[in-house]
Amino acid sequence: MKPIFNKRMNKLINSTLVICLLSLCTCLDQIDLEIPKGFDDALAIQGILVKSNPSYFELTVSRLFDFTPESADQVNVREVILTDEAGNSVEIERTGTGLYRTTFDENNSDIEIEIGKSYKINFRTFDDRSFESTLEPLVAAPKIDTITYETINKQFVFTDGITTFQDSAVQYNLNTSLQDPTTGENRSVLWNIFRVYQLTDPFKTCYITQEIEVTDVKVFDGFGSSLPSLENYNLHQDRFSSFYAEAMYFEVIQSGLSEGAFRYWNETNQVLERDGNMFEAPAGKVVSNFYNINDPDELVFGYFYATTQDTARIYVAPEVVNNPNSICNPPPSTGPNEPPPQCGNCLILETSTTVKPDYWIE
Amino acid sequence: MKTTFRSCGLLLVCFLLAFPILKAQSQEFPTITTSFNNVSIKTILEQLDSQTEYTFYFKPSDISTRPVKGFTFQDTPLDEVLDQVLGTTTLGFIAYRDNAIVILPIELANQAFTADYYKAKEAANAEVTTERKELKVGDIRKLSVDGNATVSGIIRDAETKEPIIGASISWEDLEIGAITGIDGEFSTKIPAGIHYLKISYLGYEDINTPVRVQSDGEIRLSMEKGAIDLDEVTISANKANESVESVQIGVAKVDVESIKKNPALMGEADVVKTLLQTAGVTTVGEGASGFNVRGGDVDQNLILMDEAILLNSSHALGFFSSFNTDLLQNVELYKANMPAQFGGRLSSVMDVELKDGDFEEFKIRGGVGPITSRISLEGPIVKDKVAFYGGFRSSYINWLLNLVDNVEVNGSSAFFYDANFGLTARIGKKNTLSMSGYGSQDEFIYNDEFGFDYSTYVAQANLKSTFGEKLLSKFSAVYNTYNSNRFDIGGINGSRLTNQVDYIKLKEQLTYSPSTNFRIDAGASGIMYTVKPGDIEPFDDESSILPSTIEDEKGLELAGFINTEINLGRVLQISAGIRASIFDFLGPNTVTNYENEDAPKVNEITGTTQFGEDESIASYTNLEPRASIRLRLGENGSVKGGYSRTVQYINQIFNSDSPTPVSQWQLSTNYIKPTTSHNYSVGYFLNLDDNNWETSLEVYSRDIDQLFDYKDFAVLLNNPQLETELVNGIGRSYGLELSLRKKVGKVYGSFSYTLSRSERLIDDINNGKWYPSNFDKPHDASFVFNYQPNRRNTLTINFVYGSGRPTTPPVGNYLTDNGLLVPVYALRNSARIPDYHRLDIAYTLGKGYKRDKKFQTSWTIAVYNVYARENAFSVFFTQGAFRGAQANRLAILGTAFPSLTFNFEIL
Repeated sequence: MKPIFNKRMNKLINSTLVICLLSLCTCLDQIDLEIPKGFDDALAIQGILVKSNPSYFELTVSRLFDFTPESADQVNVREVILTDEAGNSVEIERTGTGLYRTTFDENNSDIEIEIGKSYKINFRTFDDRSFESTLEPLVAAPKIDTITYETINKQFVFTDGITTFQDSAVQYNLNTSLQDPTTGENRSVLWNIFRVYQLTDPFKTCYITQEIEVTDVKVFDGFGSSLPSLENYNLHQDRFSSFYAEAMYFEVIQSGLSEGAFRYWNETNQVLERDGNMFEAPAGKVVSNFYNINDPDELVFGYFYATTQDTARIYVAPEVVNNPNSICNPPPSTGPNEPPPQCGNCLILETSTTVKPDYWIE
Repeated sequence: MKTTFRSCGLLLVCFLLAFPILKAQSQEFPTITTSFNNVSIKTILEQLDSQTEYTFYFKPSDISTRPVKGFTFQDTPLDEVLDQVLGTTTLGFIAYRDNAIVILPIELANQAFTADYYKAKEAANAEVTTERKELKVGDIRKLSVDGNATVSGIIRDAETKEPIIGASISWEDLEIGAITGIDGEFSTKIPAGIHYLKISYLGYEDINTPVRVQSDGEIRLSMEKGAIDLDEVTISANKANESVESVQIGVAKVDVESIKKNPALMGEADVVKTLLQTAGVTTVGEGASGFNVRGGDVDQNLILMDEAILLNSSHALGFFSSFNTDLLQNVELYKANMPAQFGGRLSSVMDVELKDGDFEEFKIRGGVGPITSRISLEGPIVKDKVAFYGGFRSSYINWLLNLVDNVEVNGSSAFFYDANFGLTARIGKKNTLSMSGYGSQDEFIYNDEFGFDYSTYVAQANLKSTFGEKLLSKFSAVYNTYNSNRFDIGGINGSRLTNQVDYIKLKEQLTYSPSTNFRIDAGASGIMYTVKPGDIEPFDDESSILPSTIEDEKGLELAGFINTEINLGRVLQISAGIRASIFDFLGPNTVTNYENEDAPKVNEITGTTQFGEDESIASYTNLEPRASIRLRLGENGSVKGGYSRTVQYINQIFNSDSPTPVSQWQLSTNYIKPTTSHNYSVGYFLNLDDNNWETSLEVYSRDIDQLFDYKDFAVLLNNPQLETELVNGIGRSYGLELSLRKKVGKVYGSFSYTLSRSERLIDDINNGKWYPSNFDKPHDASFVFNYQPNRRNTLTINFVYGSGRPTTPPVGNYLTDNGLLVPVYALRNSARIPDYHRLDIAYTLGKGYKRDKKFQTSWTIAVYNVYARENAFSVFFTQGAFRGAQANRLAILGTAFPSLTFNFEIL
């Protein structure tokens, strides 16, 4: 709760200033600024263990990169081992560059994935640095009750942070418990939101699952909340777009967070929301639960957390959003541009499938 | 009405030797018809005094009281009458000017005056250029036997009736002088006689007047502000050569009249913005609250409104200060080196003295600007006995918000006001009691989503008493409450956070000045603080916020002080003192215990300890020596040095460049140590062109041997274990301040430049290496140019330049599994935002030439940020394709701001 309060304070102060300081004349431009050299060879490690059916573990290791995703440098490492609090362990196989993933067969695994147990990760790099995470408890995610939506008309702000425009949008509201189903105590939650939409090319119909681009981490501090549940919590506002043209589901995956994991994601959110004004706290390093065993002072980024997940989704019919044109069938006024490639073959999109999801009901 | 003097003494000699005298023979005397029978010479002279237009002066011991023979005169000229009457004695007479007859021994009466006498006479006549009438002091019958008289007096501002401290008193013909002290008083011992008095004070018209001194007596004079002089001065010393002569180093005085002529944002004149033109005084940027002095933090400035400590001196975050400029009497800033009577802050003292009110006539002043208006009035309740003043200032910003093309801004509102009221009573001749109150409030609501409000209320009483001519007592009692609220309106996060600081302050200060060469200030003060660190409560039923209350905190700060100023000849002056301060952090309170109490951590809590009412939880004692020395180098120069130890027991909690109005104040506790600092400075001061030019070069250094900073992502709000978010360390700042000022003339102004660093060393930050503090500004300069061809018109040009403040840039980033690109930041404050510079222009059409005009107006038209410099309010980073981090600058005042302000006075 407190960090969220801080975050809102920043917003408050900034908004105040923009007002008191006459937003009539704000201007934004790019400037040259001398930026010191970064951290050489620092690693970013992302790990998640999900108890599901089946349970799975996934780890990505990369070097910090210099502001361009294209320069992302996934790093292969050696002997990625997942260990539980009892010392049982399993080695995780590499499934791609810097990517380690496995699923667990409940009946045939060296390690049991159970709520309440704690887990940690070890690995070595090829330059013989050994990294380990602290033990992270696997927590149960509170259950989502329903998702609802409503259409709204509101003012949006461009990415410059200043220019505004009016547009229609679908506002998704969440009704969910905040209580850990195993303990009944309030738990903090992390939301990942997706759109699953239908796109038809001349030959087939595809179903594409796409994480909705957001600029912040969607977390809620259940520990600091007096409420056992959230009702009509405004989770996301999505402008009307061609994604809704044929059919679309809005999907939410809710994860439970330990206190450490919540702190990590919340601090990450603060870093993402920085705008560098004089009322902001200095930028800081988000504390990772990974460390170099031989050199604890080495900077390491990222976090490993373990959770169950609960998924909910809602269908939004095209007529709800005024029957927008498909991306493959744009209105004439938009110009002579050729339709994008997926209009010829919708399977070229990542996470696209022709298998209709079993929940898909139009 | 004729005044008759029936005795005289040795002053007659002075008359004879110094002033124009005409022998009786050269005048035409009136004729008289009278007779005297069996009366003494003295009685005859008294009767002649009453029957004629002449005043008779004589020494009683020269005049016999025995009856003499009778005289009868019929249309007899007066000189013949005197010849006959005095012919029976050894006395003679001379006529002085037109209506004075001096009776004196015949040998003196017949004396031939020397050439020097006539030269002095001519000179004296030449000096009498004023239309003032001759002043008379004392009663000739009370003249002391040695012929000397002590002439004391008080000099006041003609307009405000406030005493003028530091005015120069000069008996021109005697070459005897004095300086007015506390309460504008002076005292000189001079021979009786007619002397020429000159009183001067920077910014005021000189007073030149002959004074007939007959015995001990008092003069009360009022000085009028000069037609040119005052308006020329932006920041001036007390007297012409104050900067060279005063012993205290690092003191700046703001001339309050000049504040309104400074170009100001939206026309709102501001004392703090004027202070920023002083070397060593900086701000982290537009909109920042408060100011920074010599690398100190904003909360390290002691801001006094008379004796009340203001915990927040800003409106609208930091855009305007809390002071109504119409009510200011005196503003002084002590930079780090402060006398022992001041304490409780590390960096500086901003001593703001408000007016007492006019004891003689009512006055109304006011001003109307684009977003604020103000009005003040003052006057007597009982003439010369009781006076009052009141002032009110309010904003009306909403019309501006409505112009913004943004519905959220349109749906917002902002407002502030402040009000002052004061009552001053002269109780007898030796006591002055003043009582005053101050209230201010700010409110802001953003689009009915969230907002804040904060308020300050102060009540204070000050009693000044004099005991004899050398001892002054000042007793003060102050009550202050500062409250701030922040609220999210409605929704799941709807909440209200409240914090508050109350204090009661008592202070007694005695000033003993046995001579102009020695002065001693001593006293004691006590401040009882009650701090409510913060309550959080849900805003309404929809809110999920858990209510949370942190226990009130209580602290008692006691101090005793003594400070002496000694003149050791003309060359050397020393000011030395010591302040002993004791702070007790008091119960009731529940104190958290940790495994390692030197480095408290949330995950190492071992329990709690309960402390009872007024039980001491932690106690700190500090001795704070203060010293300044001045060494005169020739007529116009001096070298000064200073040292002070300063301690601060209450700090504002904020981990940003600038605090917000709702940043809580935190007392020193058993875990949070008082911040402490050693302050050193040395400087060379040189005045040129008869003190018209002031130059100075000061070098300073500050060693902060105890301070705290904040851990990354510190949770500061409503945190009962706040100590776990702090890290201790040390700091240092050092710099060079260059100041150049021209004070009078049609063209005048100032230039100041500061080269400085402000750094910190904390184990947990930047790998334990020195790093720039948030307000580290290596270069800071200010240039003020004024052109005032006459009393009425003033053109002011102001240019400021400063290094950009430090910032922490990202040096890389990584992708999270949900596709977010998370920036990774480098060492704290390892880069700088772009430099700040701005040019402002103002033209003031001032008050008219007729001083007795009842309704006077003035206009100030100003342009703020003339060349529309887009100074960075914030700098944030985005990623560029195939490039490193791209810095983006957001300027919130990136255009020129014109304004027109109307001021008026009804006198």
